[in-house]
Amino acid sequence: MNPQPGADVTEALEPVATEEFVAAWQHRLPPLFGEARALQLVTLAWHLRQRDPALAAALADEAQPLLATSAPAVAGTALARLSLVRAEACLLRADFDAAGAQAQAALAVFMGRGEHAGCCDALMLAANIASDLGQYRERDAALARARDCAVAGGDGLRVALVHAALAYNAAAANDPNAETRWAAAMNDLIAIGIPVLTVVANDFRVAMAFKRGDHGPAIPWLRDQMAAAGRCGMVRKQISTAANLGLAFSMLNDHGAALDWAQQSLDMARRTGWPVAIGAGLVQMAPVLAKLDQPEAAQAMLDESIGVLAPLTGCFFYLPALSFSGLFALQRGDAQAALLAYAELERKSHGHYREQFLFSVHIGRARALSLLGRGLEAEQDALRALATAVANGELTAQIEVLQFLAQLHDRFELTPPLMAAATGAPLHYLGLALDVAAEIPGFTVPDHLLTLVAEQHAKVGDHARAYACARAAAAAREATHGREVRDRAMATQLRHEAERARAESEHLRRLADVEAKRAQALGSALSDLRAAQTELLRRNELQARMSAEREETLAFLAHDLRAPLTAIAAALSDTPREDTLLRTGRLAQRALTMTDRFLDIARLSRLPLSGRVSLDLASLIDEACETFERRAVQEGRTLEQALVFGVAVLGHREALTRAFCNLVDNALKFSRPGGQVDVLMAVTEQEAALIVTDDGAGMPDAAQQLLLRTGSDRTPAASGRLGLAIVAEVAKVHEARVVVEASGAGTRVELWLPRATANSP
Amino acid sequence: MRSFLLEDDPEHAAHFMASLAATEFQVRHFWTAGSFFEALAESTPQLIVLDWMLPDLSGYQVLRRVRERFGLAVPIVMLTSVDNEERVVAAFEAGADDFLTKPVARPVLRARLQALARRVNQAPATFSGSVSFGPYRLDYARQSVRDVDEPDARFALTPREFDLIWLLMNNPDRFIPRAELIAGVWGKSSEVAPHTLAQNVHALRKKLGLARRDIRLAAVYGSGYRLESPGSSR
Repeated sequence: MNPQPGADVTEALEPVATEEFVAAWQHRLPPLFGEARALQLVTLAWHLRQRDPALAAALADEAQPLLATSAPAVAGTALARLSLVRAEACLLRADFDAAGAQAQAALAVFMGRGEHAGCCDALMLAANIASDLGQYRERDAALARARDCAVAGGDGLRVALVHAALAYNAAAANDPNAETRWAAAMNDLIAIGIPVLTVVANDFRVAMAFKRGDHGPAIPWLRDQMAAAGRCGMVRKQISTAANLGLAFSMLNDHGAALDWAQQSLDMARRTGWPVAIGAGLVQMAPVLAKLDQPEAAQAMLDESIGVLAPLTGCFFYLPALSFSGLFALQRGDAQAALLAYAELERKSHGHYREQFLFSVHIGRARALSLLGRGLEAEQDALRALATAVANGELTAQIEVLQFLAQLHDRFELTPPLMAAATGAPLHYLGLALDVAAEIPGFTVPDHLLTLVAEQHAKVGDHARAYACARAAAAAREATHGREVRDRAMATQLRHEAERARAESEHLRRLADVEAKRAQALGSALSDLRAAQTELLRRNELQARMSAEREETLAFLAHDLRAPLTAIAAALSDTPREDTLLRTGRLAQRALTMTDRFLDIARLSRLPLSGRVSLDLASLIDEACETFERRAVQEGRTLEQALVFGVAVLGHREALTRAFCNLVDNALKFSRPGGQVDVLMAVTEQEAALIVTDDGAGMPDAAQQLLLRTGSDRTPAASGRLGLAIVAEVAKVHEARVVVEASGAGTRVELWLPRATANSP
Repeated sequence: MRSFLLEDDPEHAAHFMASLAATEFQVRHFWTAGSFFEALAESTPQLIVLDWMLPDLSGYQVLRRVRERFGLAVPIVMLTSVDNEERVVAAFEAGADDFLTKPVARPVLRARLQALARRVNQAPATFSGSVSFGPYRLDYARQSVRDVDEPDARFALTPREFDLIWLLMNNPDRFIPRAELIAGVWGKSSEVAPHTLAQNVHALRKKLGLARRDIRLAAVYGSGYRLESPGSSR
């Protein structure tokens, strides 16, 4: 009966689906696109309509445009289904008109396409709307049509759902044939063991049990119903089932358990934000609190429920709230408030459900008038109440009103009814009440009724009958007491069973939690291990790269050092000449210089950014240029400087001086013979630059790449470029920008450094 | 001139001793700081040369202890194998008078030590009379600079520049700390912008054409300056 997650989505639109299927569909959704996605979205929206109406609406909104390109047959059905999703959302927020319109629109589409399942679902929804509005004729008509559609479609599940709804309605309407007509069928549905059938069929069983006053057996059924509704995502049913559990425990005089369930129901309702569910929850909570001797809290609940339900035009649940409101007013002796409540109830119920509340209105008003000392008017309303109860076949209501009439005649001087001449009006009405009670199979006449009869017999001097009735009252009291004790014991047992089941499920949940935590801890440990492994790999890689660079550098160093050393060896192996010593000295110096430069690079790369201090740029440039001035003169080149003293930059003195020297050295080396090298400064708000230009042939690309650190080959191609490698390293550790422009007419190198601020060290 | 050399490297020590053979310096060589301090307890040298790296104490520690004991009376030269700025600046701050990077060329070594010896032997420079340095002749009273090789050359120096070159030419080949130069030229308690000295030095180099005359007026790690005699640089 349940859809298969792998099945085609168009076939998946069963009335309800369990959590596993919804989860499977949600899992399938992400990679889908186009029409396949749209249909999956429709399915999900349909099954999330009560689980998460907001998400369902969002999915519906996403699906709608995707269906624009689908074939009309596919799109039409899917869009109609989305209308049903929206209709249900409207119903839940008590927008009955909109809900009805959407349901009707969907129904029209489904009917046009001969989609029996869709028609059935639209009609079931229409029935629910009518039910919330208390329009039972419309509800029953919709259900009858729904059954026809389900039968026409050969849809066994939907037929069963419609039958369950019809069965429940028969039970709720006191249909005397309900038991014979439906009981066996509902038991069969439950025996099938499908969650949704457990939910709907138990509605009937519970209603019948309540009618019989068998609240004890109803409790396990209600629990089954609760669990099954949870699995099927029937959230509204879960709320009402919890409320019914509260009612059952209340009837068994276990008010503590009753309060727990009523509270649970109300909590669930509040979480959904559905006004009808919240209002109904509050109405059901109020009498439970009243029985717990909490009249103020009960009244507060009732007031709140009226506040929630009153603005919902046409909402049926407003009427029981008004009825309770009148009852509570009577209980606290506030006749005026009771009259107001009953007047409002009469007005509101006048349209569709007059007969259902007519008895409440008349008996309530009669009691209020009696309180006000208006006996005659009270009697008239009581007689109307009696007529209504008789018309509706409500026997217990008849007993109630007859007892009240007896009390009324006892208290006020009223004209007795014609038939009561012999015994007097009170005994006449009480006798009628006892007659009615005798009609009810298994009914125990309440002790207070018998006490009342005894009192009346005593009043008219019939002491023998008075005694007999008093004894019957004592026996009834005992019987009632015995029944109350039994009820209480049953309730306690049921509660213990429930608690044991809850404890077991809690234990299982904790076990699952522990398992989950252990899995999480394992996962976390695994993830830590992976992170550590990644870090280790990263470090190894870094180490390997550094090692490779070191080896490269060492190889290069060895190669370049070899040249002057080989030359020294050659010079020394020659026949000693006058200039040999001079030459070897020069070569040794070259090797030494080169070694120093390597050491410089190694040292520079370790300089911290934080160690930079404020330095006068012009002073540093001046120092660097001074080193080369004599050489420039000796080589016949011009080294011009244009410096601006007093501009501070952030840096390491030694490193910057070294970099500046290398740039000037390089420029002199590659400028034309007799050419010129210019050393300038440029200053902006944030930066200051050293600019070195020469008039040589232009820096080769490889050298530029080395300077800009853009080359892939990190090894300086020639020892002459070691200086540029140092400049690049210095620029890096200073977060400096290097700009190089080179052409056949010369090279311009700019080294832009961050300027020091007033707060710099 | 009685000199102590503390150096643990035999080759450098030998080079050092050989470089100063047949000069006015009589050098006693010590391998360890311990033996150096033992000798110091018996006699006071006129000049001390310290290696930075020693087996028992660092040159820096030896320098501090000598300064604590003798004050600034004995000139001290530090020897380093790498001209690491931090090290040199630390040495200057601890009271070194000069430093040399190994290997030191003989003429440089001699010139530096002689400059220091002159400081010990000579009275402090006074701002009067005349002074000769390389081809330059300075007359303080006239505030004039002449180049004997180029009699027609004219040098238009500001009074500060003149005082600065006067001070430097009176202390050739000697490292002069910034503070000493500023105190000598601008006065001891004067507030001078950090770059003012560099700016004046830069102007002097340009105006006097020092490079063209093979003369270095070298900045020493931002700590001071040294005017090097022609041909004294390595």
